[in-house]
Amino acid sequence: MSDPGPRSVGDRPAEDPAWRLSRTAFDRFLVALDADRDAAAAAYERIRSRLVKFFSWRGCTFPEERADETITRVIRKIDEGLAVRDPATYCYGVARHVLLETLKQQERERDALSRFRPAPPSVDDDEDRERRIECLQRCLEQLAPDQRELILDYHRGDPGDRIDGRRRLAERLGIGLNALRIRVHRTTDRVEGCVGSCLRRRGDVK
Amino acid sequence: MPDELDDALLTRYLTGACPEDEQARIEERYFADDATFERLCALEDALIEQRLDGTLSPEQRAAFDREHADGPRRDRLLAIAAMRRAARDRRGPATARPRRLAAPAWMAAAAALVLAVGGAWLLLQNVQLRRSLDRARADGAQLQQQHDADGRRIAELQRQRAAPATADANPQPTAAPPTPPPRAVIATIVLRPGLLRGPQGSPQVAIAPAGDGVRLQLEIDDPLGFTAYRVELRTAAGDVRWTRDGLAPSRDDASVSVIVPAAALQAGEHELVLQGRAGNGTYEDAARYYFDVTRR
Repeated sequence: MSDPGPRSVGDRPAEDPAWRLSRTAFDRFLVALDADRDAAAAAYERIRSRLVKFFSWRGCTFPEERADETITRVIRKIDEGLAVRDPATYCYGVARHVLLETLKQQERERDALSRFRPAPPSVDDDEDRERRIECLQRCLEQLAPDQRELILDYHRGDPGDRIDGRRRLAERLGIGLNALRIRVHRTTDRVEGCVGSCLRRRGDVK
Repeated sequence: MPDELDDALLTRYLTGACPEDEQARIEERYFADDATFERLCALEDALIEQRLDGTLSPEQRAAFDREHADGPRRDRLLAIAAMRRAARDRRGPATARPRRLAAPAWMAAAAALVLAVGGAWLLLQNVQLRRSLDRARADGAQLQQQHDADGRRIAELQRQRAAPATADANPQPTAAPPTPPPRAVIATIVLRPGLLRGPQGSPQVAIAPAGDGVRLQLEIDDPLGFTAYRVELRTAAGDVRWTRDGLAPSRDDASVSVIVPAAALQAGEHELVLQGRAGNGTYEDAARYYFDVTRR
């Protein structure tokens, strides 16, 4: 997979006053993804989800914003007339430039604020967990019964029992452990999306 | 050809323990390949579970907490932690685990338990297998009846087709003209799983008076991997009206089609349960569909 050579894109800041993200520019980007609008929307979501994970897995803060920044830069290049044969690969190339900029920026912030930064929120924040559990209960009830039981069966038990339980669950469903893990991951995605909406409705998400 | 991106390498990627060239190789792959991306996401869930279980190495835990104190991974961790608690709460106090005994007594008790549970499990499997066999026999009998009925209908149609020539040779002015066979009227309705209702409510299925039935195309949200399916048609009260076995999914595993005879469709709400056949021959609920029937 060759580098699309987005060096000039990566170096140019997105806040150039001469260009604005417009509906027309966004539509041109969708057309570059696929002539069919529905297929283009699916391709957009696919690329964006990968970009979010890319920035998250590479240790960037605010990975969704970095993903949107990347896509905005790609939209700009296409709007300015660049013909992009493979938008996903091109987005990855641009993302690598955004990553380098982000990591440098994070390092500068870390140095500057290291004396003043408060301790990161504990992953055991009880109050936050209780709010999520309330939303989770509601979201689990909205799942189809078989999907709900899948999630609960998958997470049931102590650590020592869980592996055997999952092996038995996979056998019962007639699939392998990896396929079970992926099926649970997809259902968890749905639940997590529902929980996020629930928390936003309650005004709890920052 | 073995996949060089094994789980160990992908886990090192997720914990930031890969050199830059390996990272780029993995990233190029998951940007192009959905299966690799899903594997990584599922492995990340497993990593989060290890964080909750406290089984990450000190270096991995430090990287996890430092890099992901905010953001999507923390949200995922909280979601999985909440699911575990929900699973624990569902189990309830009646199934609380007994305290551990001293080692020798515990081992003897565990051995006895394994034997008892093993025996009970075998009995249960036996009962389930017998039920599956009975169900298969009933389905077979139903298929045979349907086959016989189809055969009689074909023979009837053939006789009617031959009737005009016979009538001309031996005119019977007092005999009534033969009734034309009812036309097969098969409409196709596409159903999506779950209780999603549009602005107009559940999907509507109208059965014509001369109709023989309706073809239902049951869309499947995620490929389930089953090679055969069974459908159960139930009324709103839960009574099973009709079943059909041995249905194959579409080539892309995105749908299953079945023709439901008109006689099985009463006016009112219906539930259709799609069940996939697992490797051991039993059926597992895969999806449910809902629709309303009106008869014209």
